[in-house]
Amino acid sequence: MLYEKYRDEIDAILARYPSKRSALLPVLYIAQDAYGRLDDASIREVAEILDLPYTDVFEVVGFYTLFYNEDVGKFVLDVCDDVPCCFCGAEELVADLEQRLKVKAGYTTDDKMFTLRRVKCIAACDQAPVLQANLEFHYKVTPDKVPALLEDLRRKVESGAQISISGRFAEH
Amino acid sequence: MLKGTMAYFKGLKTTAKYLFKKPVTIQYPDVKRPVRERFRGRHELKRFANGLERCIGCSLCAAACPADAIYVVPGQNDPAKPLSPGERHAAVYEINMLRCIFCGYCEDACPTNAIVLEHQYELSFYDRRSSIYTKDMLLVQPEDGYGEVPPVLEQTGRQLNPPAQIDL
Amino acid sequence: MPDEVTLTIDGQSVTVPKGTVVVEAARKIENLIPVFCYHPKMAPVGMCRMCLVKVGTPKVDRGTGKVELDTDGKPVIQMMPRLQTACTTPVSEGMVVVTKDAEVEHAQKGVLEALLTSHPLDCPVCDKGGECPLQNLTMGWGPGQSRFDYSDKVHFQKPIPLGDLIYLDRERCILCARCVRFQDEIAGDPVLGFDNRGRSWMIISKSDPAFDSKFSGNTTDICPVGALTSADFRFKARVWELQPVPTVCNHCPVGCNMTFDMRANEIMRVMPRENDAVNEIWICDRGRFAHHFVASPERLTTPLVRKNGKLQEASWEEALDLVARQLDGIRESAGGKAVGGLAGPSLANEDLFAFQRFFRETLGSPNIDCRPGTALDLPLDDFGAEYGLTSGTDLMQLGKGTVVLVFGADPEEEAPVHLLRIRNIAKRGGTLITINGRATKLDRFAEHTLHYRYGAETEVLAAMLKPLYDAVPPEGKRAALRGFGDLRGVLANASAERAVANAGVDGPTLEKINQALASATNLVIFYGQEALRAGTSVTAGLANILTLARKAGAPNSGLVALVPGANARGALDMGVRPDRGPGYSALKQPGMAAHEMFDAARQGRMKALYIAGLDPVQADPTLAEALKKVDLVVVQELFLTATAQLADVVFPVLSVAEREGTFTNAERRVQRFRQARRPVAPQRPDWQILQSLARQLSAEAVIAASANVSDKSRRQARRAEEQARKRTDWSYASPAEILMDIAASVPLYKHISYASLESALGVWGRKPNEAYYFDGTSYENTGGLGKQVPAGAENGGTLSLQPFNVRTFSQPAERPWKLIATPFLYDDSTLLNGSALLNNRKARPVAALNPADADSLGLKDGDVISIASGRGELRLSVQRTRLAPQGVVLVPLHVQGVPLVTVVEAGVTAVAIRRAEG
Repeated sequence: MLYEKYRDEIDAILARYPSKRSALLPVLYIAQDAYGRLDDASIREVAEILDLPYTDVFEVVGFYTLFYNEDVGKFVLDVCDDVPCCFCGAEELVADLEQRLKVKAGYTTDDKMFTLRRVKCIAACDQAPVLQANLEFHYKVTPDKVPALLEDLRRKVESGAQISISGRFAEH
Repeated sequence: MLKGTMAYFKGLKTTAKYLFKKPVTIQYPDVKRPVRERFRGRHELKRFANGLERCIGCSLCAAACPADAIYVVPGQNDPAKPLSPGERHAAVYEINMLRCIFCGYCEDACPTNAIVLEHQYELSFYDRRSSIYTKDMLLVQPEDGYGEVPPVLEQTGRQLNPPAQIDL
Repeated sequence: MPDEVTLTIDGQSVTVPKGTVVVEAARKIENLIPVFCYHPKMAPVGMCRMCLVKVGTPKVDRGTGKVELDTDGKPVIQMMPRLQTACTTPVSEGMVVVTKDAEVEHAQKGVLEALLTSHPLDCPVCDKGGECPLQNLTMGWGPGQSRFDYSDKVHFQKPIPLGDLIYLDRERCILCARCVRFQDEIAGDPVLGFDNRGRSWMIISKSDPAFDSKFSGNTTDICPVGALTSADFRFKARVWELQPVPTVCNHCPVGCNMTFDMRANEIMRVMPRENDAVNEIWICDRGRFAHHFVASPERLTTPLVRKNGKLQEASWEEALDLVARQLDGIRESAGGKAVGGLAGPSLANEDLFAFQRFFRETLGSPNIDCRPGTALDLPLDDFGAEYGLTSGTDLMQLGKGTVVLVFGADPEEEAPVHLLRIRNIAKRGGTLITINGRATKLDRFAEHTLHYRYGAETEVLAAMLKPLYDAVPPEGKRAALRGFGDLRGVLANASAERAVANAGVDGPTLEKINQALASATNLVIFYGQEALRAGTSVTAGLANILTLARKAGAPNSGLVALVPGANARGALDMGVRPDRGPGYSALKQPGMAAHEMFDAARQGRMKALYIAGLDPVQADPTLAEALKKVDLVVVQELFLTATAQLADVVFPVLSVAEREGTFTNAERRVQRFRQARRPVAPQRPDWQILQSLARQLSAEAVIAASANVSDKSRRQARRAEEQARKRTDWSYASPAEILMDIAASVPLYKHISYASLESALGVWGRKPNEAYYFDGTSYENTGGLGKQVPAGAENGGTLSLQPFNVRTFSQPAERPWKLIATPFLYDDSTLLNGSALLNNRKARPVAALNPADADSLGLKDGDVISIASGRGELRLSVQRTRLAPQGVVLVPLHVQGVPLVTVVEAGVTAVAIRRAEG
């Protein structure tokens, strides 16, 4: 089904590499966006598209933290809590988000909109504290900016804009 | 002549001396003599306080036994109704009491203090076959308490509780 | 020597080939560096860090490029700043290695302490306890005390099944990846992998079914801890209580060396026994897990005699006396020709030899065969012996320059361990060519693969023979090949183009294959059941390729015929066949083949049938009718099979575990198995039953039809006479004496004796106390390596080309499909009785169709179809699979509920397929 639905995109990816195996990560991103997460069936589907042993694909999904094999929301909010961000108020940011979203870090909101996670350094220490929403950077996020940010993200979903939890549309 | 008579009385003197003392003889089947704390008699397989068998069927007692008197066949615990903590239990546990030399090596080898040489010493059989004690004969019955590990093992510095590896 | 390197390890100098890693170099001087993840059969990865050593190399002056010397004139050694892993560091000239000093010890202690932080230390319940490298290394190198808190250990749910056969205990796993690498590098089934990372790193298997590999049991052997345990051996016994008895696998023609690990007269587990010439250190899962037939409660225990129409228990005396009397009567009244004998290919050489003696000498009957006599019988294969792999060939030594051609075979199902060995040749630089009608697993490792249309095998072979034929130089050489002229006409029209057109093969690949064949230094050709079933022209074509490539009888070359049965080669060597005597000697008068015996039985001409170790009725229930017309049916069996149920007398026999004997494998290596188990019932070995009967019958034994009559010279004649006199005397006290008799009467076996099979010299082998390199005490081979008998072509003399014809199968229009019978490792043979663990892996009774074909017929998975050939009809449910080529329906062999015999025809079977009604 995945292949039928995204045939052009997958073919374009396959054309980029000399062997099918190399296309694994980008195809997994497509599958993740299409299904909202990577469950057993979708991983097997990707393996079949790429003629790879099932286990090999499960290994890759298990290894990388940006492949989600459990339920996540439409937006994955990664807050850096490493030292520089911490100095600049990451803990306050996490606490604020937890309070506003009514979930603890590591969990997904009841409306399946946001997943809040703590992560280690994401290489933007000069702009601390940093938050990534679907891999898109938001710099110097102080608690006062949070309501606007969340509202903005919610509006994006409501407007029907394409959303990629794999961060395929993120601006870097 | 007199000397001979004197010797007679000398002997009676010893008799007389013991005449009013408490006799040493014990009326054995009726009266049983207590044994020492560290006496090594018939084995018992102990239980944990929660009723589970201490024996996990590891066969280390059989390996340590110099007389090859112990035979263990292990089995897998049913997780819903385990006989012993962990995955393994003794499905068959037999000691041939005619072979056993009561050396106590099995006690030393046991990682869970399951086997203890207790104070029972009445071991006689009409045939060889009945010298083989099976698991249900050796295992302490729950109604007899949980077979607390005797103080002697504490004295020897053994851990009273099983080592932590047998997760309880 | 330029390819050798000298280095110093702990002050001791050692010279090893270039590219050797430090661990192996140290091992050569018996300096054992502790390892977990390193395994000599696999590429090093350096995951466990146990083998850390100090390494230094001579300092080289950058300006001059010369080695700097100190004041004593010795090279200055520059030690590397940190410890190196000895398993991944290749040796270099002048290298200095320190394996024992405070720093190294500190590192080793540290590594062990770290590995044990998450290890549950449940050795008393762990099945690995007693043969566990982690235990051993901790005792030898460990810190004794851990600084980590016990309560910090990571806990996982205790063992989870990784498949049907293997359990994984994640707590015990030290993540050395030996199992993952074995599956990737050796078995070629990449079904194991790592999930997650950090402390939640764990082994997973996500194939469908999980851990889908025929070699999964080997991972439990190489696991250096108790993380992987076999479902069969879980909590069965402690390893130090086991008594390993050397044996040989009786399931397939590879003849893997194994041990039965015994306790209290029961087989507790089966372990591989190292033999580089046969199975290295591996065995397949069928060999490992299918031993339960031995202790099956369904085994026959006493002789059965039919009384009042029912089989009833009888004493041996009664049963033997009855059979002897009746056979004697039939011999007197109807002659020996009215008696037929079938002996299966899983009997030992001794049984088979006694069997043919009993028939040819005692009964005077030429009618013997090693096939069951159904439509599925394969032609008798002589090329595997005549052009067989030459003696002394060790597949493990072959690599570059070796061309391995696998034709019409699926080694994964027919002879699994051969798959590993063939793959290893390819990995060492050999050229692997697979030519088959359908895709097999071996294709994945092949350099060239051709898929022909079934029925057009000879077209492909002709195109391969043609260039080799033309390349034979005209003078001299051609005369040295008997039958050279006969081939000219056959090959006149052969060409690659024709093969492309008629067999549908890829032209450029065929071209490359021909080039590879022409330039091969060694040529090994495997062929299997599909090639055999396609007719003798196919196997003759393969033999001719070998001959024309001038590799017949040449070292490291030859044919390997994968004829089903552990001792199929032995059966042919012993002359259990209607057309040849022992050692392929000519017979004055050939007897009836198995199917002819049944034909004769139907017509009432067969008075007695003696069937040992075969179950024709199971394969073809219609044979029951024929059997009912035979006056006396005697069956020797392990179980009350369908055939045995129809017998008049049934003799219970001892299984391979309860007796001694020898098997001859596909590479013609004679190997000995020993008695591991005391019989629990009064069963007897096959040869003994035959001997008892022969003794009763042989008062005036018939020598007339004895095997070697064509011998001419007087001396030979006298010897034959002497032998004949000796033969009337049946006084074998043991199988060893029968083997002596075999050595005397079968020229190929003249150097074979029990003593010669026992030699274990030259085994690559572990040394005692090296247990942490390769776990499992049973790997050592002390039971003997066996001995290979020479191939016929090795004797020199004129080589002959075999009659070869090109035939293309013409498909009748009304039956447009081809039915191909496919062998499966896990089928419904009696040797899998009682091994319930393998039930889920058994071949299912389905007809495999290509999805495109299924679509064209409008069939879904599970739809029932009728498959009709010219002979009959068969109903099966459909399985859509890409493994089936288009236009072909694959039907499993020897599977219950698949009466293949009703439809199958000689060669390719053309069938019509339609959806079955109702």
